[in-house]
Amino acid sequence: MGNAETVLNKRRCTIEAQKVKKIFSDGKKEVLAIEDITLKVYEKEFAVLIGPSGCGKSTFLYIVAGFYKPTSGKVIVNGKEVKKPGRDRGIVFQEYVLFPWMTVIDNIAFGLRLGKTSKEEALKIAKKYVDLVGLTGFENAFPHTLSGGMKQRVAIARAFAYNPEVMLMDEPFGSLDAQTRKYMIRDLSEIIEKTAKTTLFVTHSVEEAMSLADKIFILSARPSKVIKTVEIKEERPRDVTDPKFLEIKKEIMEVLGKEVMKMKKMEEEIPTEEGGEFK
Amino acid sequence: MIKKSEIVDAGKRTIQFLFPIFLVLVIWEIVARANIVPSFLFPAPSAVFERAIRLMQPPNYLFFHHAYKSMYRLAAGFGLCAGIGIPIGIAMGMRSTAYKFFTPLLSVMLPIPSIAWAPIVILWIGLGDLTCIIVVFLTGIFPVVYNVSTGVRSVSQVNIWAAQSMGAGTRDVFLKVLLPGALPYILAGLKLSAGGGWRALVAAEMLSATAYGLGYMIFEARTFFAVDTMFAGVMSLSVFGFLLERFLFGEIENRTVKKWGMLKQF
Repeated sequence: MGNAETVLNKRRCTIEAQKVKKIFSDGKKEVLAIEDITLKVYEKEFAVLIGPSGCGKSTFLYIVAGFYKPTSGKVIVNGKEVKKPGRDRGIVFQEYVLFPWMTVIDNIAFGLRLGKTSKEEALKIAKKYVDLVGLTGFENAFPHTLSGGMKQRVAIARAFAYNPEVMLMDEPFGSLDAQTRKYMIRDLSEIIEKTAKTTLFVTHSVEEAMSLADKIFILSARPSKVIKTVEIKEERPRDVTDPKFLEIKKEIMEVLGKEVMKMKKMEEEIPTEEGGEFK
Repeated sequence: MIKKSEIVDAGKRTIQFLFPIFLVLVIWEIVARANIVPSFLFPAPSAVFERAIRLMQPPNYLFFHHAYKSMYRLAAGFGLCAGIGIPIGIAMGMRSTAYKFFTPLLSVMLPIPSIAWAPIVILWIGLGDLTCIIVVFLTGIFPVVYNVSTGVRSVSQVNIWAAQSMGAGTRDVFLKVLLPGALPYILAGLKLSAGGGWRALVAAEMLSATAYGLGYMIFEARTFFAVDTMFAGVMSLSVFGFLLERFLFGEIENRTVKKWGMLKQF
């Protein structure tokens, strides 16, 4: 074992994927969504999975969350193999997925209440997160009265409030307009600095990846595998228009660009075939 | 809290709602008074109204006795529909085995008008309340089961995943996600069930009620040629059904699914 490897091993590995493969089958037709994803995310690391749309990156995230089972290979989170969804892995979806029958504060307190925190205590913690995501004053609003950006803030607060060990985010800013997205990236950067939570974040936006990631895994077109890993050591919040990011962007785009083209071509050839991602 | 404009709005809506009904009543009154048809066969609405008031008066309060009996039977039958239909619907929505078991049974039962069972039920258990209640149940069970099962299946998988990721077990998912998530469908099913049950009840009462009930009242009035009583009975059916839909179910919807934005408000 080399020296570098030993140094790395001193940091605790929180998410580990070993040769994860996923085939979707509807009985008649099989689609190989993920060929082989092997990766490691260390404690307190913010890792981003980036790849062309439909490449299977959300599918992989759902496997880590325990929603899908891998066809072969396994995912280990905090030393335990993932078998089903669980409280140790918080998730934020692209489409918010708030419970419309609960107010903002009840949505955020839901995870805490499930963990048998007393109602009073749960509401107190939830209130803290309401403030943290900048929704003070909207505690008793129902989700349908909120804008998309506000809904996603609630969803983020809800996932953080019950303090899961790792955070999984599935293109959380994908449905937001460009302006809102910019603010959300900035605010999430602050939350990351405050909470230092191990995170796996899926996106197809290079800008989002560079703004947030400690480590970026670039995935190939379907069937996906990790083709390059890029580490970024800059402090957050970052200004990605800064010249020093140009080099990183070029490095990512060189690899990612080709995969995006491949995916486009694939979709033109077989327009009816959909990937494993649920949109 | 209530703004003046809201009261004005509510007034406007009420007038909008009542106007067409009022217009039809006026035309009816004119036609009836023209005496084209003898008035004992085709009474004017004013006469029907008068008759209805008389039926409500002491010493017998006859109308209220009839109405009470009908309400009681509806409530009992509807209670059974909800109590049995909701669990079956939920089971069908959650488990494919339950779905596969109940679907064929429902499919063969659905085309049978529940009143067709009435003669058989009468033979088994005789005339009376229970027969009426059973007919209400056999009518109202279908919309409950179908709607609840659809409602449960309509709850998006990501909602369940979101809850499970926060540590929700089967019970929590059921009580805190599936049930509220399916509520728009559950309420629609209950509403249809109560409406259908009410219509079937009147038919059942004509066949099998022994002394009271609005259906019985209408049917019995035939023997005395009391067309005005019959009309009063028929119109009261409409009024009761309307109140039930508007104020019971309407109010529940306003406080739940409409408040939550799960149902469009017009």
